[in-house]
Amino acid sequence: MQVLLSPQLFIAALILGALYALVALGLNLIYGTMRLLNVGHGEIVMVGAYAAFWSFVLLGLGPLPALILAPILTGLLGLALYRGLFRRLLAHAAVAHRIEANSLLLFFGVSVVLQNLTALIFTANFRGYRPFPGVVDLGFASVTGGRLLALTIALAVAAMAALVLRFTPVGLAIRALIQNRSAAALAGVDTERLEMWSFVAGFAVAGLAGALVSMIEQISPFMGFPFTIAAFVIIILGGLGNLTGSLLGGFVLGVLETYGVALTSPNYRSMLVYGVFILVLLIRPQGLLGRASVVR
Amino acid sequence: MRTSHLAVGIGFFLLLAAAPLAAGSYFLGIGFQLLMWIALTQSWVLLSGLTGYVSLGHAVFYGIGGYVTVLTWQALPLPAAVVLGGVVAALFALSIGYPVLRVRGPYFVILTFGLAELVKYTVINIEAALGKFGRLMLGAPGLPALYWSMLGLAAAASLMVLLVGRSRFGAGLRAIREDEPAAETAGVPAARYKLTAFALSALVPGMVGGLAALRSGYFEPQQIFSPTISFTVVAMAMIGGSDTVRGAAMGAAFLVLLSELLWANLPELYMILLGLMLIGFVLFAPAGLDGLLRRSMPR
Amino acid sequence: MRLLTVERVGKRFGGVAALNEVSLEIETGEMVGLMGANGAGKTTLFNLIACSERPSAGAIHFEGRRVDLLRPDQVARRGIARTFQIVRPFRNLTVGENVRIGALFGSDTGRPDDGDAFAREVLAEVGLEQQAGIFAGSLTLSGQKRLEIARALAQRPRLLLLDEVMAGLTPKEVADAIAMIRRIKTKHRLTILLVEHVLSAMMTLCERIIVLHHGRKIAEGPPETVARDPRVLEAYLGRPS
Repeated sequence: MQVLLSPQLFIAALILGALYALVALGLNLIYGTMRLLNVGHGEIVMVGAYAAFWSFVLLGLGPLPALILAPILTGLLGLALYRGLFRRLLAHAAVAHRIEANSLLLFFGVSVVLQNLTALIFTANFRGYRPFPGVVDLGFASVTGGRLLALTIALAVAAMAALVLRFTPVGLAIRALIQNRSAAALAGVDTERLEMWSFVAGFAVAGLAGALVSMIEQISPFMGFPFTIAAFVIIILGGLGNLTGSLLGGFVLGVLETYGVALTSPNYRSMLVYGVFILVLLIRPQGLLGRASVVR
Repeated sequence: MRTSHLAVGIGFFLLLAAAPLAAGSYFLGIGFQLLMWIALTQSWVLLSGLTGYVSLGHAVFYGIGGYVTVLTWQALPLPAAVVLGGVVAALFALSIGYPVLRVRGPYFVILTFGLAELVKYTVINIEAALGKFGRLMLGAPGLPALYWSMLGLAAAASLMVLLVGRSRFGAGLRAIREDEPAAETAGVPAARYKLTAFALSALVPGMVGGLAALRSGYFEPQQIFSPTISFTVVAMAMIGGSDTVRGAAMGAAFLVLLSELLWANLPELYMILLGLMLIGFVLFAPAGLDGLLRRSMPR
Repeated sequence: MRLLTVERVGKRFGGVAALNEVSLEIETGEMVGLMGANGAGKTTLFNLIACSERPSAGAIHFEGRRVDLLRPDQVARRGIARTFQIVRPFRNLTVGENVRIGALFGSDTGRPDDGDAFAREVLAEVGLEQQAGIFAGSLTLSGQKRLEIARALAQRPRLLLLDEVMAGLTPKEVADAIAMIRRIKTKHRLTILLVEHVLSAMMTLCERIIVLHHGRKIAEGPPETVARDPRVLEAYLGRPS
């Protein structure tokens, strides 16, 4: 029981929660604005992690340039995928549920390609590096510099995103787009442009999260899926387009996972995450929006 | 499907049945793989092709069947152990089916994937608790016997899709795929039909898993519950054409060939091609190889 | 003989009452119209009778047996069929297959062989026999509306609920639809409850009209009486200025 009261564990839960919130933010943006179900979202995190790792280790850039390079790279990847694949899907599929189902298969294809391409180029081995090995004493607990950095940046970016969405014209346009696409278009929102930028921003944020993950954990080409699952749990829990909801959901899941594993054993981590995921889906079978299946 | 097509199908299976008499064990091994994927893909089509509930977790039935067979094959007569694997997989589908099949569309897809992973990690933990890290299966029957059994399963699965497709049951499943509430309003008992399709679609993969475990002579949960199996089945059905017997067989044959060429040396490249093909077919040829074939051969 | 009894039925969505203590009775062989502005609760009432939704209060009896707790497919087999205001054909099935679904599942006797013959017959009645082989999604709107009627007819219902089958049709098509509804009613010995925004059509077709307003029944009677009822005029046309 002593372990549960340790501030160390609490910080670990906080870090995991902040990273989860960041990953869910991007997924939320892409699903909310376009109804695209990015089951490859975790792979974008993975690509961001590799981008940061290799710019740090191979190119010898410092950790901060790595943190900028990773989101730019994944953002560009998002731009290419949007232009190459998803604009076509959005333009051609008339029925909403077709978009969701087809986007899922497309993203699944993309995720398999990314995983194996990474494995082909970088091998499937686990890799890690420690840019900030020093330990910072916070008074009630001590953490490594990397973990503190990850926590700070994740919180800052999530807060910034919340502010942008809440108080700026772009944020208003995005919220309008999430609520009702055709009404937003009628009100003068350039929906296509906004969708493209939401797509790119979602990918960039996932890349940033990946770069942060790479500084605190070992990375591998197959590290992505747990993040995808976590992000889905969070946006089903927190609600679509609801940023405070997904922030909260991120921390709830972070705490649940960290303390659940501490109480049992690391062997049960996957069971725990998948168990929560399944439970959430069974309790809210109508999915993320909470749309009731009313016959009209 | 016209009678001439049926004749081609029967001829195809007869030819495969004669294979062990002529082919060496290398080709027989490929044949075993081909038949295995045909059986799995046809079973998937029965649920996902007909009802539109796309399962990305069919590995769970394959894995459960394999696990049951591994646990019982020394205590039971071999065919009984294999059949038991199928029955347990179908019962598993029945027991989780009701809540799971209330989840619709893309959420069903990710739910099935999550379920399969949950079962995989559960079995891994059970095995670890038992102190087993992989099980060797010594004294399994030889390849020709397994091959003929697999042939039987592939034929049974194909026949099942064919018969269901023509029946009242199949018409109801297609109506569910198109518009479930409207189908219910027209009198289709959607919940019962979906559950039946789910259980039927788990039966053959359960038995296939048993045979596959016997063939490899080694059981390891990471492998037998691997999500790659689920993914491959979906890719085969999408590439072949997702709701016909012929399409599923073509998709399986195409990918088995491709994997034979690439898997041994370049597994990553194989997976990359698989992903690219899935993307290409979803975007450009949603009716699959079967659809392309039909378009190029006017009736 | 009494076919349908709706008894003090209510339906709430969250805090909003879509229907409040609505009661009505329909005799076998009647053609009854349901009238009301948008949001008056007409479609909700249809959903309750067809068991697409459960009432929050009250009960519904069909042929003397309670039906409001059944599933939609069960009540369909008991003999109630409906069309949808926003059409819901099975788009990637052919017109013939659409109707065949109704024939196979609408009643307990459905068998593949006798379903086919009956489906062809019903298609001819709504004028779609030429289109039996094409995909339902490629029909015109008017064609899809007729297809919905055909699918419902193929279920061999005793009560048919028609939800705005004439909305969006040209005057010529409306006239054809009126004639067709009369024809099928006689031929299949149906009882019909219909919602229609084309008021003239409703006035011509129905022997009796029920008016809903904000989820309550405010008037009921022969068309000419209802049309002169001051409460109806106020609800429908707004307060006279």
